[in-house]
Amino acid sequence: MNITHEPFRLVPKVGAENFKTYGVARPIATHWRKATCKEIGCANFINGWRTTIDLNTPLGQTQAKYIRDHSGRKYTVVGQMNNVVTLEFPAGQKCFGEHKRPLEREPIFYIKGGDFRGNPMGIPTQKLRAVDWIDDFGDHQNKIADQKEKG
Amino acid sequence: MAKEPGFPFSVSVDDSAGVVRDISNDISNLQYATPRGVQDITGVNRSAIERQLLLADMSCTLNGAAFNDAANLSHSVFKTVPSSSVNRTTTLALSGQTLAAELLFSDYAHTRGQDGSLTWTAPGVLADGTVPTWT
Repeated sequence: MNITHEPFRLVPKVGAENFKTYGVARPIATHWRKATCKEIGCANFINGWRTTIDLNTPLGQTQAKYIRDHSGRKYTVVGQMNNVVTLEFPAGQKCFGEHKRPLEREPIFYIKGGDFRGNPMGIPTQKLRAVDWIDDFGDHQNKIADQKEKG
Repeated sequence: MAKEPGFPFSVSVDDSAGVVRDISNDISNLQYATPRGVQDITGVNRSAIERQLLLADMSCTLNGAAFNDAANLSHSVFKTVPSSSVNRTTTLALSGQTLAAELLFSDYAHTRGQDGSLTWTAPGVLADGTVPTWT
């Protein structure tokens, strides 16, 4: 299950049918690789970090077992109260997060109808070469700027 | 036409202090929604002011591939969205062309995936009424 919610947006005064969207995509499945903490400049790697574990819960017990028996990371116990333990991990170790870096692959450039609210006109999505995408986007914005100038 | 490099675009966004930060390596995808044109909205019930507002409208959505709390990168830039109301210059540079827009970001939302991934979304709208053009 994904834990998601729609981000808060300021909604335009007119409907989605009056908009078109220029997008650039680098899908995670095809355009990214895993990266190390060092490559990313991860703050936990640079500064060290603290992890608090509640041993009263099954999750906390699993976390503690993993850290103690399998993680291979150095740590010291810096706090313990009511079975809630705080561990301090010194700098220079891989954190528990996962980092990514983009591959040097050409992104996907596309134009589609509508905006984040949908595509009510059902305008098909076009995929373009980068240079054509910029040309189209540039011409479109210039046209809008000209129209606004005219009033 | 000259061959383009494999990684041809960069995205920069101001932090809350107005310092430009290059967050290109955090962006998985981005969208600019821009008005289709004045013809679509010049009905008899439209006023000139409404038309102007539409023409000057634009929304932008930046999506990140992963949570990145390294110094001056995406989390450092957007963590102040809930606590500050500042316009941020957002620049897309591609193949020697640049699109700069003054945007007001309204959220910095995260999604926790089933695989443990943590991605983010930052939506913004045009803040100053100036139509962004490529230069």
